[in-house]
Amino acid sequence: MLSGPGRWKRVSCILFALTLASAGWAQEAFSHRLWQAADGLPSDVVQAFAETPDHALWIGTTNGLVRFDGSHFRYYQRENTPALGADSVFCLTVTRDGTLWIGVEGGGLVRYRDDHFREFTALDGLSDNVVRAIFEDRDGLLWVGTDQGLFQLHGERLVRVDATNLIPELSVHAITQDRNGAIWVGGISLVRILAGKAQVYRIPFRRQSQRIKSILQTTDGTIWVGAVSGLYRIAGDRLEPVPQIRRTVRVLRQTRDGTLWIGTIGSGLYSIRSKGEPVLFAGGPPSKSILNLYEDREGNLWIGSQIGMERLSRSAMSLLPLPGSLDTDFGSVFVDRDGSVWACSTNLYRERDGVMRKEVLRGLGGVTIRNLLRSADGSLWVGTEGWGVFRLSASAIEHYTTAQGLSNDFIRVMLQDRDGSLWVGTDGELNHIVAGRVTILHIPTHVSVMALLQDRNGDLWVGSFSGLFKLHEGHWVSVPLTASLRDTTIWALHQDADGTIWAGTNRGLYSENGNAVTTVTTAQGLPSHFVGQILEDNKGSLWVNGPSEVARLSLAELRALAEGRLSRISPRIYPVSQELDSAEIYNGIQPSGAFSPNGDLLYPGNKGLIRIQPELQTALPAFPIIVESITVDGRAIPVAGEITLSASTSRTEITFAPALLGPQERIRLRYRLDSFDSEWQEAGTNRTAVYTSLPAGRYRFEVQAFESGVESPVAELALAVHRLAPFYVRPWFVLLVLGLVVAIVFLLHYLRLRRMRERFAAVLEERTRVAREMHDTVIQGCSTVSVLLEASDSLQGDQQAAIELTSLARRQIQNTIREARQAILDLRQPSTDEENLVDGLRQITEDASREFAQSVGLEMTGNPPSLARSCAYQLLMVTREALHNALIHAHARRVEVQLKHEGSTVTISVKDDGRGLAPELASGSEVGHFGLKGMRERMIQLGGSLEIESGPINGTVVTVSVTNPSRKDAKNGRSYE
Amino acid sequence: MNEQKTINVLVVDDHPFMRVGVSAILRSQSDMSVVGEAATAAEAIAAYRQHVPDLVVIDLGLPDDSGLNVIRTVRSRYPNARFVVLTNSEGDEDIHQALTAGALGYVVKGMAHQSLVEAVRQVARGGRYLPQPLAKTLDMRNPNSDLTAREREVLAQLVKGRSNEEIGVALGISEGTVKRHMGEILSRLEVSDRTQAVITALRRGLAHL
Repeated sequence: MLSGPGRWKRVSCILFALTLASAGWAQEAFSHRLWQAADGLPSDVVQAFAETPDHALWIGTTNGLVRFDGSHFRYYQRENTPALGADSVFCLTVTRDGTLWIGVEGGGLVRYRDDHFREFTALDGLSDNVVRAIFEDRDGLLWVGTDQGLFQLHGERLVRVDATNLIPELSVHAITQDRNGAIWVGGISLVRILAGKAQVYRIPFRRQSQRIKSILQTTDGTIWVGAVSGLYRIAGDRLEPVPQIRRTVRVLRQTRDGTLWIGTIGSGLYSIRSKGEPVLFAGGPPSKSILNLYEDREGNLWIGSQIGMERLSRSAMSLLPLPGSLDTDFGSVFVDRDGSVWACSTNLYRERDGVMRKEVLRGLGGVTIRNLLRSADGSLWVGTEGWGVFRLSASAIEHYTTAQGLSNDFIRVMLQDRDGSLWVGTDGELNHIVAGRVTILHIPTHVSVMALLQDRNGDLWVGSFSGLFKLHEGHWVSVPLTASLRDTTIWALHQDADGTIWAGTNRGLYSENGNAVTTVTTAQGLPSHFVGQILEDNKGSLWVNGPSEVARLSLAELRALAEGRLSRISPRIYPVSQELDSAEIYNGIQPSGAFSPNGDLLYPGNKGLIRIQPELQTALPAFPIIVESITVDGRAIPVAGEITLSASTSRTEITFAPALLGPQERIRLRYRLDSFDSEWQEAGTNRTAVYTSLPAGRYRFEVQAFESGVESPVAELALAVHRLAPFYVRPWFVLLVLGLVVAIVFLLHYLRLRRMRERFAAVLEERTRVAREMHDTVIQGCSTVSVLLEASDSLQGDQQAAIELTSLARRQIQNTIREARQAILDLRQPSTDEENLVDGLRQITEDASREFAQSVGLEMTGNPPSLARSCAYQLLMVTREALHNALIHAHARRVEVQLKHEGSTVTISVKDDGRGLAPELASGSEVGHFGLKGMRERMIQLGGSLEIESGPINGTVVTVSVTNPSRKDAKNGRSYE
Repeated sequence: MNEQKTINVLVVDDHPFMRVGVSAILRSQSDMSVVGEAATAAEAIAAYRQHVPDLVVIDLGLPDDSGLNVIRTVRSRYPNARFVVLTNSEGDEDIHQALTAGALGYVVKGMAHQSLVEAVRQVARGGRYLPQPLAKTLDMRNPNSDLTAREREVLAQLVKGRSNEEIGVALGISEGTVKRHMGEILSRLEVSDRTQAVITALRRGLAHL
């Protein structure tokens, strides 16, 4: 058995019998959450609830319909949903096929299915548009109750079934079905319809306007009727009043634990458990007017009221209010040895019947009490704020203050030594009260004493505002833990069952076991670096707390951490502030936390005592994680299947949330984009993943939900994300570019080929020209010479003729040489399309002058003609022939060449003053003068003419002329004007 | 037995010296007489009509028309007209075309005058004359290399160094058609490019400068 203060912290459940039954809503602790217009509801007046299979809660308010997915509201009002007709949604029902039915006050019946709203009005047979009740019976038939008439839905048509001789005219407010299959309809009257026939119940009149507001058969078979005048039970064929409830009962609901809930107008929420009496439920919303109640699949109870909607969720955490307590900055809790709970704050409180009540200790009125300690002898030590220490025993009150030698009258911590003496830690120094005598122990730093611990060896550990100290046999000794915690504020000290010393500091949790110091901080999984109290239960856990949360740490894990087998612990976290209306835990006055007799943890706080009932910590219901929205560059895209991001996308936001209607504080979400994020990202409160500059590719967006203290994820989400490559890396573009490259290569190749072909063509043309020149000159000439020589050879007898032929051959050879030379000359000169006739004539005349040593005149009139090459060449050949004839044969003194260009006619005449030609030569018919004939033929080929005037006195004039010579040869010619 | 009968010959050549030479060779033969000379195709036809010679020695390249056409024209009217082609061309196509047109003898300029004399004599006697080298050339001719008239026109344009486009314009056909003809020409001449086609065409007498 432990001795010392640790004993009080490790309260055993065996000592005190557990008296309260723990099952059922009314006994359980709830976390509350209230939503009002300020929190996003379109109206404070919440009239209806229903849950669709997609984990969404639909909320009917007087200002429209709201869809709630656990995180966000989505609004449906007449503005954006014309089908609603009016904004006051009075009742909601989800039928077994998942369809949501909406009863609108003044707007008729509206069906919501497959993202589509469809209204039913008078056109569909609904003659009244004030829909008060919608009910699907066990056969799947939909009943619709209005202020004037009861309807059944047949197909797409509403059929009125009342106001017949079997069923009287009804004004309906409530519809239900009993276990016999009878339909109960309440309104102005109460009728029970079975097999199409109505049985009418007489309602006891208490008021002028009696109306039935709700009907319910509980699982025990009782049919309850809520009316304006109160609550009734069906007893035979009459209504039996429940006397405790005389106010209007608006709603009746039985939760799955069997509790019947009664929502009234004006006197709040009642509950009836196991046939007991109705009890006013204290934890309901602040409104006295309860309009609706709904238990969702997760087990949360939703309460619609005049001032908003409240969610009640089972919770391990609850508040025990301290009535009349000001919001002071301190508090402590003390569990007495009889099991009663004391709370010290502005006032002193003691728990009785589950309620904290003020208590004034005898003789200590007006004294602000900071903490209490029950001595082993039964006396009560009282630490005060400025009043020192009192010791209350049955017989006397002892008082110790500075007057009695106490170092300081502000008490922080008291510890009874195993020898019975008392150690008192104050805002300044440590005191020891032994047999009524006070001694001051000066701690090395002379500051506030925050925590005290006597270990199993009897050594005293003193935690101060600045450092930890160990007192061993009257001397301060240094050990590794004290050395580690120099200048650190120590908030709590504890020795666990194994003997390890634990120190809660403002820098984490420190421990020493066998000279080894281990530190646990947020880096090792602690929710806060601040550890204000350390408690140990008998299930192997340490409970530590910061100002806003309590964490249960597994000692086994802590051991593994100390031994290096674990790098991170996974504590179960109780987010006190989040779940308990921003409650905050006080630390600094010991004891700042304790176990109650039944194993609950109690902490002092600014809103009263904070109670944690570990056994009430229920498992989270199964839930999916949903993608709430996907925004791509500020534009929302539909959430369906794979996300495809265009190449131009720069920013993608994915918002996700657990589809959980209940409190989500226990849930931690993390996400990653597989093959982009290297590690998981903690989502925190911002459940939006933002990605920019995402490379093209396929990804998997994953979200995991963890419950605190559970290692494996409780829910997961995976979403395929495909970011398209920019066009310049997409296959079609690559193919296009490749194609283009190939095309360019082909084009270059083609151009090269063409250039080569052009070069070849040029070469070919040149070759052809050379060949033509050769043909025209050398071949023609040589073959002619050859024939002439052959002919000469064949004339054996006729010497004269042979000589003539040889002479011709000689002349032909000369001509051929001249022509070949000219052809070579042409080849040497750059080839042009044009032959300059003028230059040609100059050349010819100069050549002739030089060759024959006789001056030849050249006279030109008109513009120099521009002729096609071939044409000019022919003209030059003819001119040269004529010139040679004149120079060789005419014996002329003067030879003159004239070029005349008139209009489109070019005329060249070669004139000499020689002896003239014989007439028969001039006509060209004589065999001997072949030159003339050749010249004429050339001119004929050219389309021109050759004329010869010749006389023995005047000499000879050979005139060649050609008109429009350019048209003769389109290729070589250029237009000649 | 008409050994002594004189063969009346018409000489057709555009070159005057050539005519002189040919005429002299023929005149030197006792059994031959040059009854006329012509320098152009038109003159040749007229002269034939005038003289109706026993035989015509004709050059294929005449200024106004091809000698072949003269042969055809004359033979269409005078089926028995005998022609000996005397030309510079040794190409198989020229030989082939000449023989097809109805020429009976083919002599290349530059051969010994006995060849011409022999040719005239043999043809005048009703025979044919084709010297051995030419017969060999003709034998080598690919019978599949017959070109259509259009293809010949295209080839002729090609030899002038013209591009497909220019050929199309010149012949009034599309460039695509020219290409098709060109493909056919290349395959028929068994060559792979236009330059070779031109060379082959000139060598074989499929086209002339």
